[in-house]
Amino acid sequence: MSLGASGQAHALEARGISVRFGGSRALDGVDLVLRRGEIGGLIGPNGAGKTTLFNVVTGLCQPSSGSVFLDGCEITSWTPHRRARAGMTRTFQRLELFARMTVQENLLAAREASVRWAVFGRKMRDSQREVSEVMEMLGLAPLAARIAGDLPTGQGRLVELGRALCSSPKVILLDEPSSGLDSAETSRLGAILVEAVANQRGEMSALLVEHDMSLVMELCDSITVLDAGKRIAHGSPAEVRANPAVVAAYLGTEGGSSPLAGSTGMRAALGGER
Amino acid sequence: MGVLWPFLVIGIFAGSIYGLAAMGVVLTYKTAGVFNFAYGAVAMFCAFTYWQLHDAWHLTAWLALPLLLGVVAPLIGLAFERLFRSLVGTSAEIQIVVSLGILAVFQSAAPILYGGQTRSLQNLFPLSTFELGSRLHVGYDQLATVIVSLALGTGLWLLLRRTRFGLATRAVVDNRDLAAMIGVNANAVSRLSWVVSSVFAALVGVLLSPSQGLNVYVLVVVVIYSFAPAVLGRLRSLPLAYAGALILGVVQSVLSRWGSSGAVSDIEASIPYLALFVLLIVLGRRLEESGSALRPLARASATGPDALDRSEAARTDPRRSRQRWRFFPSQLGIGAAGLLAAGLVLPVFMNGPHLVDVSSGLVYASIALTLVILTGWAGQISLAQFSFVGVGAFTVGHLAGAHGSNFLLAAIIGALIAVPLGILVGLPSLRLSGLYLALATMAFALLMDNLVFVRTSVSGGYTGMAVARPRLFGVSFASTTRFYELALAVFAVFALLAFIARRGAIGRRLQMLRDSPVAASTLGVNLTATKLAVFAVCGAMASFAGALYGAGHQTVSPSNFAFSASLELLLLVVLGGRSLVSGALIAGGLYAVQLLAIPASIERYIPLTIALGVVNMAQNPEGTVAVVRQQVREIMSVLKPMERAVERREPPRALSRESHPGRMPRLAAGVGGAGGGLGTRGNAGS
Ligand SMILES: Nc1ncnc2c1ncn2[C@@H]1O[C@H](COP(=O)(O)OP(=O)(O)OP(=O)(O)O)[C@@H](O)[C@H]1O
Ligand SMILES: [Mg+2]
Repeated sequence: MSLGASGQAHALEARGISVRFGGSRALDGVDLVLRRGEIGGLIGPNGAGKTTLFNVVTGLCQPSSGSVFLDGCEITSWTPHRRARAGMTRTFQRLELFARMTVQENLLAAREASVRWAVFGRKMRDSQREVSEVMEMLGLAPLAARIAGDLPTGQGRLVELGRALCSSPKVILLDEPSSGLDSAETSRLGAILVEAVANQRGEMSALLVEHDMSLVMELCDSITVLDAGKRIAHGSPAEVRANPAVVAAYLGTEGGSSPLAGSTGMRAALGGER
Repeated sequence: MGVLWPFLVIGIFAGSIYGLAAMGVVLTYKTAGVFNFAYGAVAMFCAFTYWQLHDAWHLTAWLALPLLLGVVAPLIGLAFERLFRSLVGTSAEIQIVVSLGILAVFQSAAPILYGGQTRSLQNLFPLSTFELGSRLHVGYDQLATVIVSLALGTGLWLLLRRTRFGLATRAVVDNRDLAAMIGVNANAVSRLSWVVSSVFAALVGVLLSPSQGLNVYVLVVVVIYSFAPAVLGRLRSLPLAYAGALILGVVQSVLSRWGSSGAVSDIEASIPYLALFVLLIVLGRRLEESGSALRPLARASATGPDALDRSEAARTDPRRSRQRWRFFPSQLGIGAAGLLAAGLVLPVFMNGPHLVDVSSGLVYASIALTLVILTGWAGQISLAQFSFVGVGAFTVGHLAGAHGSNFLLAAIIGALIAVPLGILVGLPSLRLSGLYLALATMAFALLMDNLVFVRTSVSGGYTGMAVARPRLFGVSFASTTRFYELALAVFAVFALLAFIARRGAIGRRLQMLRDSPVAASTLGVNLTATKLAVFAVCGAMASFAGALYGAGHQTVSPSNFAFSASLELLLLVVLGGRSLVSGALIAGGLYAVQLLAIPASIERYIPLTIALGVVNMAQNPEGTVAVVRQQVREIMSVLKPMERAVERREPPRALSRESHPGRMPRLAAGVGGAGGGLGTRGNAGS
């Protein structure tokens, strides 16, 4: 177990993760480290394996090899709900809302699932207050009574973020939270995330999968780059931006027939237009 | 060993027919992604049609058979294709409900068209026999059946292997949209496979009926035998399905050597269901994975709502849903007042037998409520709910005593017995959802039917068992009015409990399970514990209500709790509204209506009407209630004063946004402003 600078275990660590789907390798010996209180970035072209790595870390997918540590404790064989109760939560790239419940119920349900006995007495009132605060912070309050499945994708992503925040996480994994949001909403999302992490004073860390490079470069303390199931770079935003392998991975996909979502952002970021 | 040869021959003969059915079922699942629960009903319907053409209208077989296989069966296939094409992309739950609804449509339409009695169908092939080796007689009909089935099976297999059709099928299965892009006509592919599948069904019907007898039920049940081999081939491999069917036929037939009645014959009849249940548990995850290749993005929508559900929900007024947060919701008040009024008024107007029927309806509503919780709220489809009712009814039959003095204790014991059974049914749900769970619960119901309820020691056999009306705390509920009041009270308590649970943490927990089990687990919900708990609790409640069901009917026999009863319950609940307490009440009402004395000329159209209603309503979780609500709202909006009526016309989204422009935070307003562009779900990158 490698330790952080302060001598504490990392908030999240994955070592040598490999995943196969049939014949193809979705992940091949990938390492990942998220230090306490930091916002990490996980980037890479489409199909690089980012979502698969999230699935391994949250327990939805068993790796064929490798191990995952949460707060220095090995959790590789834990069920997803056990990991969640230990403080890990996530959002989904393909929305996984509780689509027939209201926005408020979505958040309340998440809160109740993570806090024991959240259903009774004082804790119940605490839950409702917490949920209201999170909705206020995310600007969801006016939508509280709307059915979550009716919301456009952008608002749906905010509900998923709110749901994750309501479960008082130590590690929060966000899978493309900004897709479906316009630029004003995206920058507000970034501000919310920074505020939420800062509020917890090192008790909460976030890992972000994003195609919006300007957002990643701005928010993240460290960045891991995946390409075709392999980790090709890791470091500070500046280091990653200067890394020739990263530039090649992104520009190499440019010739493909399908234009990448966010690849313009990446090129802009890499080309220093910001 | 020599004695076994004849049984082997019969087994191969039967297995060949199951094989045809299994391949027919696999074919449409492979190509159209639809598991056809109505397959047996199609076989039954086609056999009746053949009887009509051949025996009633005296057409020669040379004319009747081509008409059946060339016109009637393909038309049925095309109708299926049309119906299910309109359901592409909807949840597995909806497709299951629709195909079960069609099963009921065929079952209720056949008696109307062809008369209700059991017919006997002549054999297609000559019955004379020839000798094989020494002393082994094989019928020409058996030989011909085996040859036909083998030839068709091989033909289909070659078609899928060697022709463009096979290639196109695989392309469509992999990705329907992509297949369309590379020039494969997905509709033509699925049309062809529906036609072939339904021609196979017609053959199955015509080949099986001479030996099984032709009526509305038998073929439907016998064709379920072929589901186990189909699952053995993971619903995709034709050769495996065929081989499995042969093995099944032989095993069944060889077993029958040791007896045509008693325990052996019960086991013989149950083997296909046992095989189905065990296969589903053993294959577990692997089934889901092969299924998911069909709908790569369907993880969420497999159990979650579909677009139509959503658009229905969108029509509800936002102000309406805000009322959910009041402590004493108005619906509860209205419901309670309605029930109370009905309770006081009905006995005054109704007497004797009618009040008995209404009581039965109320008991049925309590049973339906357990299915609303299980299926409508927790999203776990069950085709076995009436098995639990049977457990409750037979338990009080045994334990309550002649005057019902131990009734309450017996009912509680019945509920306790249902708990482990509920957990047993829940077990497959740990690894399966949607279709496979429905199949597993169906197998469970049929097993309870054929292995447990048939025992004379359990149920008193086919003559049934007397159940006394209860006597609780010294008060006898034997009189019609008293029993009615008891049924009403029990429903009221069930409904109140369900209502409170629904609005609280329990309701949210169940709906998490339904809407997105994946998200629920990553938020800390123990899926295993929650699913088993909900199966156990709903089973116990159904068993408790079953005690009253027994007391209401006064005699109960195994046929009350057959698989078909569970099926009818599911259909009535879907029709009433599977996500609402009031939906359960409507299901009870529909049940009571069927019991009330109705002129025979109308009576036989009622099941058909219900079945058609189900097919129509399957996509709406609020069923009839939603329709009524919509009508009432439209009428009210016409009756309202001018300017308010205009305001109501605006779409709800616009209404909620514009009604508090000042309070809208920047972010949400921004999202709202760009709403047009963001309205589509699932975007770049997914
Ligand atoms: N359940 C699955 N079965 C088979 N292959 C899969 C499965 N899930 C992912 N893959 C494959 O694994 C690879 C990695 O996919 P993944 O979704 O992790 O990529 P990603 O980096 O999240 O891409 P994107 O930016 O498009 O979200 C892809 O080639 C994908 O096709
Ligand atoms: Mg992804």
